[in-house]
Amino acid sequence: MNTKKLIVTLLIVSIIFSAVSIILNLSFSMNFKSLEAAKSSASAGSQILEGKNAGNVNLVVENTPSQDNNGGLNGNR
Amino acid sequence: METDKVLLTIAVVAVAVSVIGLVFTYNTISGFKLWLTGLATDTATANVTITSSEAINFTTDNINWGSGTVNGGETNATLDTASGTVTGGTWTAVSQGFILENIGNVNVTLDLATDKDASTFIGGTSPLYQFNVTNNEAGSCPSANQSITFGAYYDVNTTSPGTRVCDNFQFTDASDTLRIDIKVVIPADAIPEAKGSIMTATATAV
Repeated sequence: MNTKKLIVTLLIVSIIFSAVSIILNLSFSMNFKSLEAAKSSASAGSQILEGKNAGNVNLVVENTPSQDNNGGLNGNR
Repeated sequence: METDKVLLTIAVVAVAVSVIGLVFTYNTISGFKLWLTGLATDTATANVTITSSEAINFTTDNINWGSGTVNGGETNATLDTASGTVTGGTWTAVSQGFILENIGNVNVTLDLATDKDASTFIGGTSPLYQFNVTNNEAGSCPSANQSITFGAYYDVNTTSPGTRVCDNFQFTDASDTLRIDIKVVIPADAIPEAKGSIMTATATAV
């Protein structure tokens, strides 16, 4: 009878140790995942702005009627 | 009785294996803690650097009065985008001046220069080529930072970087555009031809 009690006690102890071992393993696994998440990085790209820094002023000066008139009136004298 | 011995042996072995496993697991975790720089409670840092960018842009970059002549009997014609009028000539009136926007992310100083002055651009007797700056959006160049009188015409400047217009041209979207109007006076004796000039704006971060 004492032998059976001892066997049961040892098995219970064995189960407890195994359970603790499993808990430690799970805990480690969860920590490791969190660490991976913590390793994530955030970055922002750069943008180079380029604008047009010049404007154009345009016009055309046409010949005036007086400038086109090369002859003038030749009246009779 | 013999069975009890076997079971007892198995139980002892099981306990021994469990103890060994537990010790091994503990040692392994302790070792990883020494390797790693962070655990679940560690902090992560996100760094962002915003680079300053000075940039300006002529969102309206062309003033074109088209073709025309000085009216007969007139000594000259005046073309003005600020008033949107043409007097003494037959050119098409233009009421839109240049619009210059600060598209960067810093306030800048602003200088304006042209490639030609009145004589080389228009020619003839007593030509005029002037510009006039105003805030297109209120506060784009605060009064205290205006280097010239806004709303008044000035002769263009061909010496780079040109005439200092504003010491603190703002970049915030609600107030980051200036209007630059142009006035030219074309004498009756200006040479008939197509005429063009380029105005260049130079910005420097404050």
